[in-house]
Amino acid sequence: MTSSEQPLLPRQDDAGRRKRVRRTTFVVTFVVLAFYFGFIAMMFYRATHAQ
Amino acid sequence: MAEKPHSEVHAHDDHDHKPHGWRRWVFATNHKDIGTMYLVFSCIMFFTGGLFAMVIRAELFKPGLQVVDAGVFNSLTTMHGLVMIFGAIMPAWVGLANWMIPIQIGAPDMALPRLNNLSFWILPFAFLLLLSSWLVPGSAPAGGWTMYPPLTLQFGASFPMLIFAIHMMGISSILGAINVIVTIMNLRAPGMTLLRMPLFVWTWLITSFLLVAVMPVLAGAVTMMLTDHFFGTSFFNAAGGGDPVMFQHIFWFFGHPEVYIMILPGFGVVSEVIPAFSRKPLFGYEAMVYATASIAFLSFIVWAHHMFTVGLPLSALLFFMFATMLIAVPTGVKVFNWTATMWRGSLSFEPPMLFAIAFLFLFTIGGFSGLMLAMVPADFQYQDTYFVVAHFHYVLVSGSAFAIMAGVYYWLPKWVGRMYDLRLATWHFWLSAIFFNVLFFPQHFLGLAGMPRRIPDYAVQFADWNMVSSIGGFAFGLSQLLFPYIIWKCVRSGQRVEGTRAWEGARGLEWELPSPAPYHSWTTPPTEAMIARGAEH
Repeated sequence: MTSSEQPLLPRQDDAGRRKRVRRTTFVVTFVVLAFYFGFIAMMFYRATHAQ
Repeated sequence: MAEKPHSEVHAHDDHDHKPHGWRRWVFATNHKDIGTMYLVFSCIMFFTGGLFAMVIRAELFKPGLQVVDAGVFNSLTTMHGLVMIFGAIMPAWVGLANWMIPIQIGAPDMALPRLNNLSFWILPFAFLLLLSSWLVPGSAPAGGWTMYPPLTLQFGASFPMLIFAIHMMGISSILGAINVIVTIMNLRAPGMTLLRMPLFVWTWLITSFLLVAVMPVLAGAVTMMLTDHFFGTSFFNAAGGGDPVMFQHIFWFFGHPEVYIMILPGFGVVSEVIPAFSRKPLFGYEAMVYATASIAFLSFIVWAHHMFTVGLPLSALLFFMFATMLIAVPTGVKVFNWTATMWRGSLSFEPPMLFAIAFLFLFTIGGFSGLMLAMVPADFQYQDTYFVVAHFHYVLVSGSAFAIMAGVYYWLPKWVGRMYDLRLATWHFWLSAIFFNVLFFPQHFLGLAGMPRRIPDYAVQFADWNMVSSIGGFAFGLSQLLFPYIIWKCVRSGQRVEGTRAWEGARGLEWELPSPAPYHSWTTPPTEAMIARGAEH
């Protein structure tokens, strides 16, 4: 039996907690993407505006 | 009053709905299964990277070229670094995090179990890609694990394989870090406040923030290198107006926090092991938390100490020198607190404690040589010599590998419900500790005498200490074979652990669970009394 067939565990079933999990995941993922594209954008700006 | 083990209170845990066969592993979403897979993968990579190191030491056994040519030697040093850092140490920590964080905070599993599966299964493919680069024309990457352009841009077919593998490893680490942050922030049992969390959880939370901040930076750097190579950009190409030194800045903005990514969880393990075998609460729990956070913060503002000789302005040299030295303060707090924990404790020296104490001594030696390297005028002499090799192996082998072994020997009885052969594990420790020093201590002398790093051949005046170092290397490598044997023997025929605690002085929620820990643990939250017992700092 895979975990998708298992009953949801008690505190993961809690809607408020699920919402918080989603929100935290979203925020952290946003930070990751900001760092990734931010650094490339910074280098791009530096390369195109140097002297 | 003694309480019943958790499984007796909540018999539901005994209904281990455990999938069987290959599906259990391929579709794994259970944190313990995924943790086990990470640890096994890490062990395989540890021996793969170790094999590369053995060939390196065989080549350096005496002057001249005997075993491999210079190109293969360069590939070996590069692959040894990449495999050990991204394949052995980091997955070992993620494996320990997967196993321990949910049961230490009273959570039933990681918050994002399917993401957890994905972050593990990316790794074998990443390393298959990286290791198969040995087979393509031009052989494996040979420009060092730091991948500096323009050298790295000159690789043959292995270049895109390296870049793609790095991206995959980065994605795996980022997904793992997101999972750890979300789990700790949202799935702590009621009553498990932040300042009641075990130090291993704290150090992993801080490590995850480091991962989230710096792995995308590495990914950005290698993406820019990829576009330089294939799409005609000139981010790091001086001929097109780019700046190769800029790559070094970006790389080390990732690279220095990466060092702490590999070490902070080790601080956590040692902070669990030393109190357990001193039979005393950890001295200065809150100071330890703040010191860890301070080290993590400082790790972002010291990167240029890796590149003092590229031609930085004096003000930058001074800033990075002093900022680097500042790290000694929170690190000193930690070393003081571990020592103070042992002070007048009722000490015993089982294998986890032996590895933790070795960590304390040897990591401190690595820290001191780090301070020497932090001094700009001195670094101009030490730069690119074997002194640097000795320094970072003292930090990473004794800091990370020994701490991983301390953690595995500490929690193994909880994982499998059996005790391992303590005598054999003690042999493993002494052989590792002695031959680690025989291997790496002479490299300080070689570096101070001027032997450059990353060379397959050397002048004859370096011959004696290189021979000693190689003998230490072979003995250290061989003695590591004991590690998987001890674990295999424990799983097969170790003596069953009675009760919940494998170690008399062990505290924390994991020791409230029966041994072995049930497949589904903490489906009902731990009681306040259980949490309070574990949080006696």
